[in-house]
Amino acid sequence: MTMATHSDRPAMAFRLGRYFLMPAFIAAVCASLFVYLSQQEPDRIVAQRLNFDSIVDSTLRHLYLVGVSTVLVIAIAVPLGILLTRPFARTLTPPFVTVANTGQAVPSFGVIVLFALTLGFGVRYAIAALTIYAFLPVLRNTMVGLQQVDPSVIEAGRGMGMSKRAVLAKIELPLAVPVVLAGVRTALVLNVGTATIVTLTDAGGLGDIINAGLVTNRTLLVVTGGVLTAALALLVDYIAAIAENVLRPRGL
Amino acid sequence: MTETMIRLEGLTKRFPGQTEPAVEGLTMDILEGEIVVLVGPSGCGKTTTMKLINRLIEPTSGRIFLEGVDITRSNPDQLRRRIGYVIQQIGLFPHMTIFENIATVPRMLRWEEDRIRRRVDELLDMVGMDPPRYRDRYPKELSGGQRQRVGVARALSADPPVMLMDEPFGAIDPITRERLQDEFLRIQSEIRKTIVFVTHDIDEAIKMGDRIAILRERSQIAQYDVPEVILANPADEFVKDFIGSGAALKRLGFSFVQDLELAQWPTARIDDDRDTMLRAIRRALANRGWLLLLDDQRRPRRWVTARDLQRADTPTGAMGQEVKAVVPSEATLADALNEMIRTQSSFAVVVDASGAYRGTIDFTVVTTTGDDAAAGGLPGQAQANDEQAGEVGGRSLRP
Amino acid sequence: MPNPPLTSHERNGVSFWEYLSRNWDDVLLLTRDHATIVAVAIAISTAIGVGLGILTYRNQTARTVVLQITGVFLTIPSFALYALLASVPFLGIGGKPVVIALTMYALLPIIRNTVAGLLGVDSAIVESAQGMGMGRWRRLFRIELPLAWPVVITGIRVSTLLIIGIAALGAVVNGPGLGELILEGLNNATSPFGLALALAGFVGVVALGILFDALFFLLTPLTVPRGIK
Repeated sequence: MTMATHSDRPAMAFRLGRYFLMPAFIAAVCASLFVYLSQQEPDRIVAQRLNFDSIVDSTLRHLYLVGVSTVLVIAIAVPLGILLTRPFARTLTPPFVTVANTGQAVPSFGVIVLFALTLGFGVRYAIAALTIYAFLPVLRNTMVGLQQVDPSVIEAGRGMGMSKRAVLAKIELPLAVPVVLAGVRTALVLNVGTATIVTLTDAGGLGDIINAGLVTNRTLLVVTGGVLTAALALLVDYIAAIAENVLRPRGL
Repeated sequence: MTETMIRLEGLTKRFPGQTEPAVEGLTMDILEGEIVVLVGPSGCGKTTTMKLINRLIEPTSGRIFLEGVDITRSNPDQLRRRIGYVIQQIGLFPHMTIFENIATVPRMLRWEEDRIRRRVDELLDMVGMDPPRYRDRYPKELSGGQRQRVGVARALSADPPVMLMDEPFGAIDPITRERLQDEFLRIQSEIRKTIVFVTHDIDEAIKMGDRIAILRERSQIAQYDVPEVILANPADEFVKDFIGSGAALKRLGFSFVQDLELAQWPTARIDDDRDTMLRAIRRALANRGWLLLLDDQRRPRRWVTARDLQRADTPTGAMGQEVKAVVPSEATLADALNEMIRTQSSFAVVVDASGAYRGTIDFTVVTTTGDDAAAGGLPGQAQANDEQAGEVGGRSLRP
Repeated sequence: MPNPPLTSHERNGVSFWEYLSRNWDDVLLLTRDHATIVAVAIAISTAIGVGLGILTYRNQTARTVVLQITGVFLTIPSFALYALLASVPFLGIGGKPVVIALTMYALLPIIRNTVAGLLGVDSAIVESAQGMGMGRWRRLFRIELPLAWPVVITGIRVSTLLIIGIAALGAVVNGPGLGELILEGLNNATSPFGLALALAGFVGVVALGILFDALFFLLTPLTVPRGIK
């Protein structure tokens, strides 16, 4: 890579500045919300929901739901994706990819409710539902990511005497990381969204605030819950994007 | 006595679902320190044969010996760490630096980091890439030619006795390819590895190979010999067709001017006076009428006749004709022919390393070298040229 | 249109198939509503999205901005967006916030594919059209768009499948469609009837997804110009 020239500098500054654009935006939105709220006269119902402790509780619960389900998704979908792209499973790959593509129309609402109705309400089954719902994108991306590795690089590795496991660990997986991470990022954002719904199945989360507002017809609650949820989703997406860039192997 | 480095014995490979085997009963010895080129039409199985040696493809039957040891069933991963492997698409690991790419096999063999670092620098030097500049770069920052050099360096990193190369210069533009081929031959002259080289290009095979194996379908050997013999005596129609119509011309690349009998001409110095020159012409044994003027370093400058010399008005420097076609004695006949065609002469003056006159050769020597020369050629050819005797520059010149 | 309340006798012990056989006309109606709202949203989104794609594909900054903004839309959780839009005074709950939200969601894949498709047209072709004297708009509509169409229609297809699922949640703000069944199922969680309802809703949405996918599969070769298929 050549050194940045004079003419590159404004472009570089723009690029670096872009990194701060999103958090600045999120901060601005939250600040506006805060200002707006502090000017309101909350009634009893609103005050019950809209105090610091209650909001922090809901946020933490939301993060817990998203975190656990995403970790579970990665733990199951990535190994499965690796298995399905091994030579012995080559025939299974196309049908899986087709199912993954059509699976986009599956309603998250439906999955959450069905899980609750068949297994039960509460946090545990909500996490199960979240895991199932975010499963396909990560699986598909793992498979696609591994499949797009240049075969001649793999051949060179094998030809040098690298064992199959070494090739997988040192060549295929690192080269598949960007695509897999993109899938994980999608899953994270998806989960933040789906976790908003699980308020309806007694699993908590920031959706509690929105739902309370809808049910009691208090716009203030709805707006607060909605903005906070959106802000959280954007923040998670932003952090995931940074992680994507940081974890991407150099040279790609 | 050179040792047999690789021995293939009755090697057969049958792919499932195919009626014909890709390789059938191949038996072949590859000697130490030689470049053996496997060449043949597409589909003849040459790449498959090469991949059988490092067991990237497992043989259906037959045996492979490396340095006398049967490796047909030994651990393939360990085997491959002893064999360098270069492919057409190169296959550099894009997410690793050049250093890390080259260090791959040494690391697998658990060399100490110091030794690895020294070896990487040594190899980058060998392939003509400045180590501090390229060590920490990534493949995507390199050109195609540079990447292939790194590929070769990587294959040599653990100093394997054997290297397998599958059309290594195929994906490169012709100019860079020629340069890489020359550099590779230079490196090989220093390190003398045993190399199995696959190509579909017969010219590359002739240039690179110490020995060439021309393969037909199912990897059957049509001819396995040194290039000169194959060109001079193709074993059958298949080989002849494969070499193509230019075989005779290609053979000229294997004969050298200095091995030929040169014709001699009367000479004089360009600053001698005219009487001396005239006397030299008349004194020449067979009066062929031409005098070659040399400068004080005995470099050929001009051809003059007696009649030119008798014309007093022209200065010496402008008399007669300028010497145009000059060929060094280390050159091949192909180079000599090229020079003659370039200057539109039917002969060329042969000089030594310092440019001093040694003799001349003419066009007919190209058609009468090799085995034919011993037999003296067909009488008809010599007679036809006799009729045009005594002319220089663009027409034949017979002694 | 809500069903008349079922007697407690009717509610208990109703299996999925029984429910379906008895109420298939209601399910069909809801499916039609669901399909309608998706179609409307896609129509609006395609008009806006392809338009924005055409306007910005040549300008790096413009298209980055547009893609970033529509990307933000897609990141906002649907529950939040529905609720926020429903709070807007002149929208209220019902179909309106759902249509607007779905349109917003569908924009990104459509714009991204429009831009990619237009940029992917072989520049030699565009140049020769220019060399022939074709003006910018004629070039666009006669050459670039038709050649970019396969990619564009793929974007529309992706968006359609995407919002079929999201539309189901619209029921929480009284939006139309099969989400109503799922919500009803939730409200009847204590009886097996609830499961039947939810399952009917779920299967309906997935079936609608497959149907639309098949529709695109058939429609695409018909709309792609012959010669580049």
